[in-house]
Amino acid sequence: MQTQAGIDILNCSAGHTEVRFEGSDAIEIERAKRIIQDMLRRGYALFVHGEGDALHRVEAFDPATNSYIIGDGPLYAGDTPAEPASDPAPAAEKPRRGRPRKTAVPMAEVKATAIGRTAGG
Amino acid sequence: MHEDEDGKWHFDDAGEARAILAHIAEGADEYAGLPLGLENERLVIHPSYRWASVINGREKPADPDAEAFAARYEIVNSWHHTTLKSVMVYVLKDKETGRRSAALDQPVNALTMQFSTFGIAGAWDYKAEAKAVQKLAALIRHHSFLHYMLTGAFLETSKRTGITYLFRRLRPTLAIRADERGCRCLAALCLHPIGYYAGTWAGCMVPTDEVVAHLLLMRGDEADFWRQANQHPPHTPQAGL
Repeated sequence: MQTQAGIDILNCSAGHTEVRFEGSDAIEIERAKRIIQDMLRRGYALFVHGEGDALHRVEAFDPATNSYIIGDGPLYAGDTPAEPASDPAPAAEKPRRGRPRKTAVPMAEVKATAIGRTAGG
Repeated sequence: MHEDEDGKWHFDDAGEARAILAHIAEGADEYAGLPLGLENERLVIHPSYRWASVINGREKPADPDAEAFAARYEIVNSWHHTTLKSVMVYVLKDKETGRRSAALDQPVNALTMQFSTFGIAGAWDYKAEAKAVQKLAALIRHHSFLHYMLTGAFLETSKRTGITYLFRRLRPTLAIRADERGCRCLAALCLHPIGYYAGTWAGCMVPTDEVVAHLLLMRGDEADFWRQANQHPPHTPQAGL
């Protein structure tokens, strides 16, 4: 099932607000950028939906490139690794150390969901 | 629900109020929506919400008994009675004499919470709940969705920690550790994005949207899920067991 790019914001009236990036509507895109930056400033948790059940938390937003910055590398739909050349003996993977590398994910290519801070319970 | 003078029954008394709030939220471009306040129910909103100071700053009704108690006694310590589940044990210190005494009280009762939660239903729109159910259906396996529709709960095990979570509608999520010795509940994780109604299990969002929030937080940032949630011991009334 093809998911439409955009962001669902869980809210307290309509179920969730859907912000979609249709075509090149500059006003909608600017509105979406403003909302995303406001949510991150307020401490919202934004998640980019990846392959299967994978979710990647958005750490920051780059307004210059309209991209979410996530910290897990190329594990989201749309960034399929290139087919490796035929190699009878693939080299053993080196274990990764240190912090996960950051990746910029264009907001118009993925679906995301935003969740507000908890008031308690 | 009420009958008007023409004999017509109206089943959604708060529908008009919700529609007005939705209209105001749209005009103010408030993406988080506006929660509906209910008579005799106290809304608790997170300070990061744009209108938090308006809602949280509302004058609370005076409670002379509580004020007199606070003026005379200091609570030194308190804990849940492990066998009398909803009873709290308090150690009190008299501010005038310095004498210490013990007291039992039942500040929270599961049945009261159940009825109070039931009364919040008017704050939600069934269409919003239907939309949330559709979103949940796209996030979980078919058999889990059937469980949720038929029982109000479903299970999912974290690939990261191996903890099994029982996500429940209108109840805290249970974190369960299953091993060769059996199953034990680690904690009941209570978390209401944006706000909730004090003394209930009800949040400002429709019930299934809160389930979606718990699920996404568990999958996407499990450590933050635990950090944000109130971790109720399983034997307390707030755990909803």
